Amino acid sequence: MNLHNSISRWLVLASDGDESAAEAIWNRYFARLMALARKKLPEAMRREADEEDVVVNVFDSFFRGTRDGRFSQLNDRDDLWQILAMLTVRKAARQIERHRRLKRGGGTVRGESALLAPDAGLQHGIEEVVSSGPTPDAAASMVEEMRLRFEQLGDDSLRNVAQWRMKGHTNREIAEKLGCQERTVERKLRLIRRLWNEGEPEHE
Amino acid sequence: MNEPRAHVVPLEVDRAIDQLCDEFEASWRAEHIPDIRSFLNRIDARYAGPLLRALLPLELAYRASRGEPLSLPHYAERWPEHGADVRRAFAEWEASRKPDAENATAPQHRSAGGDSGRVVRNGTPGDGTRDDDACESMPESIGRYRVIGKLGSGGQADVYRAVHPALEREVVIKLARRPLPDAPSRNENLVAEGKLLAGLKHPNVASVFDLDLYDGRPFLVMDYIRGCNLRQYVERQSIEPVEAALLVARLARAVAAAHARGVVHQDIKPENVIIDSEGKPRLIDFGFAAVRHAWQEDKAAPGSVVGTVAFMPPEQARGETSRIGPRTDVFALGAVLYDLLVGKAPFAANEFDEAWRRARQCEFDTAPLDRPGIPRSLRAICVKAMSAEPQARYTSAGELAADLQAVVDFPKRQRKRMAMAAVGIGSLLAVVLAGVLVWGPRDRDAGANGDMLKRAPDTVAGLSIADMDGHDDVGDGPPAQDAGPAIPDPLPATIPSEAAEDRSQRKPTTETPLAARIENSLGMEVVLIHPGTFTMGSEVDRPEGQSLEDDRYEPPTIEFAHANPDAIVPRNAHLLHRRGGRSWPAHRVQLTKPYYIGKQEVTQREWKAVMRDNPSQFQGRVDLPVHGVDRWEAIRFCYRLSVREQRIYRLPTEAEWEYACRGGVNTCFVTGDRITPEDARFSTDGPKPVGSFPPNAFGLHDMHGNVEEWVADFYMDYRAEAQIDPRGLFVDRELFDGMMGQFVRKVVFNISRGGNWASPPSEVTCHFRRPITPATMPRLSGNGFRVVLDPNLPFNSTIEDYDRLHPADDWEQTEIMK
Repeated sequence: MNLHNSISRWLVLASDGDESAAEAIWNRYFARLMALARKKLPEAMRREADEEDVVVNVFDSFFRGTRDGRFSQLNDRDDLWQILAMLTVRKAARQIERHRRLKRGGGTVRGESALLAPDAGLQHGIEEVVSSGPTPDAAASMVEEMRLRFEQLGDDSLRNVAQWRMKGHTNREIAEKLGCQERTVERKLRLIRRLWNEGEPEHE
Repeated sequence: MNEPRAHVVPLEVDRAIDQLCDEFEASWRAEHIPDIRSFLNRIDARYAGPLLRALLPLELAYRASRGEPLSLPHYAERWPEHGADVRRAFAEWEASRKPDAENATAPQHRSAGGDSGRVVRNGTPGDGTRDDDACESMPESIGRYRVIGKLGSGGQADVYRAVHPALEREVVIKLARRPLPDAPSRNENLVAEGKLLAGLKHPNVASVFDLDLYDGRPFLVMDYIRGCNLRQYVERQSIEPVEAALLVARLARAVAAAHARGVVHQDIKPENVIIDSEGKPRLIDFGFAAVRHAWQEDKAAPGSVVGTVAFMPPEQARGETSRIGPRTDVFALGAVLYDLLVGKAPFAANEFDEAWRRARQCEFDTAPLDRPGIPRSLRAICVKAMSAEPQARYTSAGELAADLQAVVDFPKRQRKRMAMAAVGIGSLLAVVLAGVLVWGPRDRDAGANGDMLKRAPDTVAGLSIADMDGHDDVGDGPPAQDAGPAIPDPLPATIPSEAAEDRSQRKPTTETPLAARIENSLGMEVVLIHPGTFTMGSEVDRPEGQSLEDDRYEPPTIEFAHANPDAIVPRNAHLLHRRGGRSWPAHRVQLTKPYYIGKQEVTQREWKAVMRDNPSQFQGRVDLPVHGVDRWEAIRFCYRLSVREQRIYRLPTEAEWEYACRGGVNTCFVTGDRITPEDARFSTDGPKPVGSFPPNAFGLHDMHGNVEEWVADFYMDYRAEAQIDPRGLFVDRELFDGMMGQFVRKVVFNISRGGNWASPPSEVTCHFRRPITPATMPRLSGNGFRVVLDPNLPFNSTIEDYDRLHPADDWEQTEIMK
């Protein structure tokens, strides 16, 4: 299944069809999902012992950021948080679909409908996920997803850029941190987006 | 989605492009001007266009920041086939520099440009001035020096890169922006200053060798040093507190040498320290003293605020010039140490005024110095050096250096261990003596410390009893104050000329000559190898057509990326499917410390005596070399042997191995360019007893063939530059344990040397290197090793010191060892 297509199609639906729908998703679903996920993070992980833990770190700045109103609007589809939100939602949707297939019997044989419209099931799942609101399970998988995505970046410089970007630093600031040209940061962000949008982490 | 063109390129290629760009940029920052063409050659021709599009903007930005002229036709001519890409890159670059041209391309990497500290990291203010005419034309020549580029500029001076016309020597010229005020004595002053600076020769100082006037403005001519500044250096790799101490100690000694000549630096900061290609810190940008009024910013508020406020002592920040002296530099050294330990300058602030205010009031946060990992003594040194009152600081940079060195030489944890051992001496000693070696950390400590306690305490590496009586971690001052007698530099320590039984007499005195040979209780003989210089590697195996241009790296191939979709294309990925590592370029290596190396490969008898088992495939005679051991097992053997013999045994570094193997020859084999079955064991079907073949000039047997020998370091491509005591690739634990781990493991290779009994002649040469991925084939049936006895490291060194001798790729293994 071409994941890239399915995501973009969904994005198109969400944003072209109804801007406010997308924003609602962001506000009602993702923000709540994040809050849930944060609760999911064991207490111990948030203490200084895991200072370096990228995920914990990034989560914390997200919350500090939302408090300051920094992450509140959905105006940039290339924002790494947005991408992550989409990935999480999609993952949850896939789980729903898998579950449904199993119920239908087997899961090894794909239904005819799936052959006709490969993304139909997923599309359906996404709607379902969003409308029913975040569950604790989704929150856990959100954390897991982030971990995998950071891991997937592999390269240290990519990970740093992603982390700083998600913590709300500007490209200029990141360039200064790295002692490189701003353009380099932009290039790395493009690559990160591609990796997250197109590449699947190894576990799946 | 937003970048349709990017999707033409496969994801793996995109990643490769990103890495090439990083390399390209790193090269610029390290002042190795990269050649775009050589980068383009490293990618599939289909993707040269996208790569060029990514590289060109960087090239333009860096060239512009050096004040070099840029011309579209020039680039368009070079790549006619990518004309559109070149034009686009130019257009984008032009557009991007308009809004904030000055900052976007500012050379924050400027090495020699001391004043370019105005470009700042993390809000650390520079000297707070901005030059409005950064783009002014640069002079063609300054005095007799031909200018080739502008490196940077600040409020007080412009910095140029230039060439001495006759000597073709590259230099850095710092040219004041204003003429010296007309004063009758100015020329004498200038000459005096020039003499002073030119006389300042120190290995950690970039030499100044000329000072003159150009257009009425004074200029300084300095060594051009390749490397990166300390700021960039620490951004690329983390630095341990003890390393920071060592680095600042070196700088402090350099500063002390300058003070001895009456020169005060007044602007010591990470940007003014260049880590040169040998990893040596070099202080740059001396030269404010006599001509200070010429450099100084006249609009700068009261007095003479010269230098960078983020590292500035209060008396300097307040412009109290009469109080500026050697202790001003002591403070700045402390501030640099603070920066290295904490990760930011003491007076860092977002606004210059705020930083300046904090500097004037000496307001910095000591809390970050309390983080675990920073020895208390080091914290105390830092705080003392940074006292607000000059009188409260160290009286001299030399004194500061001595205290820092003491921290380096005797980390606190070592004393802690001694104290622990003192408590449990009886039982622990019994464990050691009975030879019951259990490899838990506690027992491992006990082994080391039990040893020390068996000896008279006053012989323990110069430590007094006071150091061992258990006061170790309780907020004490710098070690020099509480450690009683002055602590001698433990290097070079020596081995007594007698054999091992006389260890109680061992003292780290430098007079005792090292014994030529030492035999241990197992009858293993090691031979002394003196320090020396040799040519490491060889050009013999260099593939045809590979130019010197390619020496710095091996391109990751796109084909490889496709074949291994999960590979992150490690720099040395080609090794995975090649037989040997790169034994070229041949380069000079200096080994500065003496060492002993095994005369023979470790035999099965010796192995069994220490390890009990025998993994060897070919057995039958006890003097056959042990084989079929992996690197970790070899290290474990060395460790156990160390405890047993109470000396430091370890694996040789690759350089030590090759130096010992060559025994002074520069050919493929010690026998010349050919080797015969009478000279060594190779191209055959099993090992021979050790010593069956004639020794080399150092008296060592079987360096060629028989079993292939493990060395301590990890594989790294050679560099063409001369090296001192090279140690191979270093990967820190954090990287391994982190998410990066799985990728890092793919680029780490162990190395074995000298080939084995089955190897063809081409693999038993002095230079052949076999990289081995620990993950996939840790154990090779033909691999054995020989040991090194290290006389430079006292046996009572910490376990961390021992670990440092053998970089780890698997920390679980080190845990097992302990």
